[in-house]
Amino acid sequence: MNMRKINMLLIGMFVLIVFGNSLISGLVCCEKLREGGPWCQDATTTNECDSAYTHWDKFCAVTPECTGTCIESTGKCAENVPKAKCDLEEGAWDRRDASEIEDCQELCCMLGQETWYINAKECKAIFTSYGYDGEMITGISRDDCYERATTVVTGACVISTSAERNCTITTEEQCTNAHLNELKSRLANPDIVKEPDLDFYPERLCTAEINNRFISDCAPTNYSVCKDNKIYFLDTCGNTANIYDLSKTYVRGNTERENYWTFMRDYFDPTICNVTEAGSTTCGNCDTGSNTVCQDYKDANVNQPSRTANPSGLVCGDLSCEVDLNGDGDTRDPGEIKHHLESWCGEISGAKSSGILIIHKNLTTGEIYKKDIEALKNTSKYNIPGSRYYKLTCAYGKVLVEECGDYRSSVCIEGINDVTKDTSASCEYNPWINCLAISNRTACEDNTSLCKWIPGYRWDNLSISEANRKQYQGSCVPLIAKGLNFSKSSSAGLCQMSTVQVNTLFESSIWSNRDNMDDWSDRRLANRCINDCYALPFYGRVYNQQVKNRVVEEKQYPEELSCEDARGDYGNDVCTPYELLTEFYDESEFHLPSPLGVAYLSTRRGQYCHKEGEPDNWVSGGITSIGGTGECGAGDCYDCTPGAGSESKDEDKERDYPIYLTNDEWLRGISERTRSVADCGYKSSINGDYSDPETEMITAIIQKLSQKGNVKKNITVEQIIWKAGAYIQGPLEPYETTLDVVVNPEEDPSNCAATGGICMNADYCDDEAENGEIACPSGAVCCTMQVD
Amino acid sequence: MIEKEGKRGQVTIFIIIGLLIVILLILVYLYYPEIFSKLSKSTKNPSGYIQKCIRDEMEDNIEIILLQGGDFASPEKIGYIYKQLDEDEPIYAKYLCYTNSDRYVPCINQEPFLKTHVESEILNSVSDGIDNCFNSLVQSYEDEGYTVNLEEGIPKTEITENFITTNFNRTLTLVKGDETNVYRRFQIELNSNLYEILEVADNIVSWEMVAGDSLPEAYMYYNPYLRVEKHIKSDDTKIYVITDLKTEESFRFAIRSYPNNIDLTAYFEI
Repeated sequence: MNMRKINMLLIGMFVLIVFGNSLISGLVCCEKLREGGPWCQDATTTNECDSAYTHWDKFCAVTPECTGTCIESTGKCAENVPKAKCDLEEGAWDRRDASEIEDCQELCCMLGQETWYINAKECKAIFTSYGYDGEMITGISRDDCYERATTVVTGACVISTSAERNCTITTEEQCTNAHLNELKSRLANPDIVKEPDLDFYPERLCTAEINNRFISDCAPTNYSVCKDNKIYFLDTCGNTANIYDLSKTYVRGNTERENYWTFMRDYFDPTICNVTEAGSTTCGNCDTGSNTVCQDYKDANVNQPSRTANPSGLVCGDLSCEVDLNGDGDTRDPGEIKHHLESWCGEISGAKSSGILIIHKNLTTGEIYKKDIEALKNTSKYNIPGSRYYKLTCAYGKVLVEECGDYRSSVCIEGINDVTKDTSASCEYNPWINCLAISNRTACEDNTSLCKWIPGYRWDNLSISEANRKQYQGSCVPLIAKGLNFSKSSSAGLCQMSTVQVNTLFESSIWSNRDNMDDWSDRRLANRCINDCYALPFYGRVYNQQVKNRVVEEKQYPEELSCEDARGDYGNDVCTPYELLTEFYDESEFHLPSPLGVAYLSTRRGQYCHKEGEPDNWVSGGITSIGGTGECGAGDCYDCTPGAGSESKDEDKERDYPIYLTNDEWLRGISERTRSVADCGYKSSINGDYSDPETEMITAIIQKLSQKGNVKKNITVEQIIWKAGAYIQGPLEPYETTLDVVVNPEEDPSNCAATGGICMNADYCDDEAENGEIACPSGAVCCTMQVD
Repeated sequence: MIEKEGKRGQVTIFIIIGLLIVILLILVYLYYPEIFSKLSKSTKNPSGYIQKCIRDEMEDNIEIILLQGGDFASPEKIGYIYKQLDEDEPIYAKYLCYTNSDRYVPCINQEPFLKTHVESEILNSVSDGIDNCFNSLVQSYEDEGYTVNLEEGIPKTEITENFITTNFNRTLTLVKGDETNVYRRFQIELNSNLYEILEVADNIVSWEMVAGDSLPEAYMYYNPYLRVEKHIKSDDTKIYVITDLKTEESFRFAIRSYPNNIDLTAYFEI
């Protein structure tokens, strides 16, 4: 038996990347990179280190001298600080985490009405700066500390002399002679007496009245001030009173209003006025969480009157943004009023296509909506070259535009907050490189993974047995194709690696002229093929997957067929042609509706059957003779044990069904895989310009082989047979440039992949891994990927 | 008679011209007081002169320092070159925390005591200017016949709530005849919310070191007058821009960090 070989080359198509679990590059840790570079960074050689500093033969992440705690003279503790940097700052360095260092333990530092959660040294410094001691409470959390601050009783501290009665708001402890100097400074004539009288009125304002008499000279006013994003009334001494409320301006004899100016009330007190999200000119209880901010009425945003009853001109301004999301020229549609700090994903304008989809997820579960996942699989429409994600945030009445990562290194995803019903978006890391490392379908298709599974070739080119095909025979690719910086060689290498070589074998007979095989028709080539036949133009075209509404029928596996076949075994649905072909490959003696020869399928038994107990030794000869006897006499099935043999014996001789059943499936699979990885392949950019047609191309060469598979001679030169999505019609052009890199599926490059690299042409590799040439096919080196 | 009336007319015109000159001088004094302060800069208010002399340079330098992540010199070796949409020229923003590893390594703190560092950068950036201003002051007094003695201490810049204060720590003694004047309070105080901005920056760095990310909305929620923007770049560098809406100060810095607690085992199952 003579064999002929077609090498089908698809260039510029996909990349073979398998990353191991060690993605950290570098062999040494430089205490400082040279030429004023950053502190404690990994490097491949010591030449990259600043010679004035030291280095270690390990990663910086595990070098204690890089990850200690530095304590400043003020007591402030900073973590992940290199020792040398700390020394330079004259700090005290400790290799432990701050949580393990006593001096860095934070405590509740209270001084009067002020509270801090800091360490003891910082707290003492505050006491010193204020000139008196407060309280240091250890063993409580930050939240408890600030909660405790709200329970501190404050009130009016009245400082009286014969000439005046001034007042300030303090704690009872602060309203004592220990703080006399500070209190006296509030008097107009502090020197009139040596020790003024001090009276403390807990939870009373300085404008409080007792027995119809003000406790101090401080009187109510209509003026107000912004403080902690609230509007507070002011008294004549400059003290803040309660929250501004137009209905509570002081009127003598009005008990309710007098009480409002007598008793302290917290902003969350139920008797305090409320501000709606549209803002208010009459109530000062602003809250950014409720969309309002204390501001001058002139700066206030929408829904505010041009002036205010508040003589200080302060209002709780509405912070909403009006956004024309659907581009219809108005902002009256649902969802077009965005609240303060509400965020959403957006598109850029000006391009023919934004090239992005607004991706939605469930904020609670993190799951991306299935309809979005399905839509994102359209690599011609979404994540095309030039596209980019943007996160938009409404802040202070204006829309902030934040670019997610260049080259789609991160993508914007939004969801609805169940409580507020506001949209919340974030730029999330695009795990494209992690997707390439996933080798099973279930992990790849996790609804939170941003990856998708493409049945067919695996990245490591291994062929999986039939039993595990659905789970493991395929490639995990990014749902969001990575953008490429084409000025960088690694980008070129990424696409250059997108090359597959398929060796398609034919069985010829001694009666045929093997030297004119280039004259054979496509059908004859298909009929005489015995291995990797899917690479042949139109192979199995009668049984292509059906396309409905531009959606291609999913790949079927024999074990999941549920349609009614010719024998009525499976169910009620009528089988599609592709399902019939699936069953045909899985089951010897299954009859297709049409003869194999007509359907551009192989008519050689070697395509379907091997010798008993020898999976790699295929049988020869035709499936049957036309008009012959046996099960497959009409040529529409194959029988591995013609004329005799049990079903189990027949099963024993059946070859595993091919990775791709038809040429159409193969073309779509490898194109889809390539276009999904990055800006590779034949695609339109956001401006409508298509990439070079030669970024997707198939070349073929026909060779005459010996029985052992060695090339005896080339029947044809290498010719381009397919380009930019279509087979070449008419005379074929020779392919002038020999491909630099040929990855042969039979040569397993997994050794390179295991090191976290990929096999590629040396010209494109910036960082060759050790022993790369051994691990990769001829002409390629194992390259450590540094992808932008 | 006619001649007499003509002389009266002349006098009236001179009076009117004189009044106009006086009014003009008053107006000039009211609206261009600095002209007068320059004329009497040294004799009247040496502290005010120094403040005025250094203020513009200091404000310009602070703006540069804030745009470059806390460094006055362009941080080209430890920065990310960045241009906002409305800017003409890109500027290097310093990495306050950085790792050059590819994945899942938290950043190394490059500027652990940011406030102290910025204080130092501000002071250093104007040190020559301060010397020039004092030299100019001394020279002007000497030109006026004073015997001048300038004692120089160590100047200090401090960022506190609502202010950036630089105390020049110098004592100027002027002697002329029997008169001796000593001036000590040479300092400049600029209104600024840099203290709060740097607190937020510090907190962002802490989150980046622990979680590999931060949430700008949280800072804007708790700091109603700060705008915090995060822009993610190609190599996973994040550019943070913190802007005070009242003072319009804008601090820009870069971070490259990853969380260190991601379990990758699921990705490598076969």
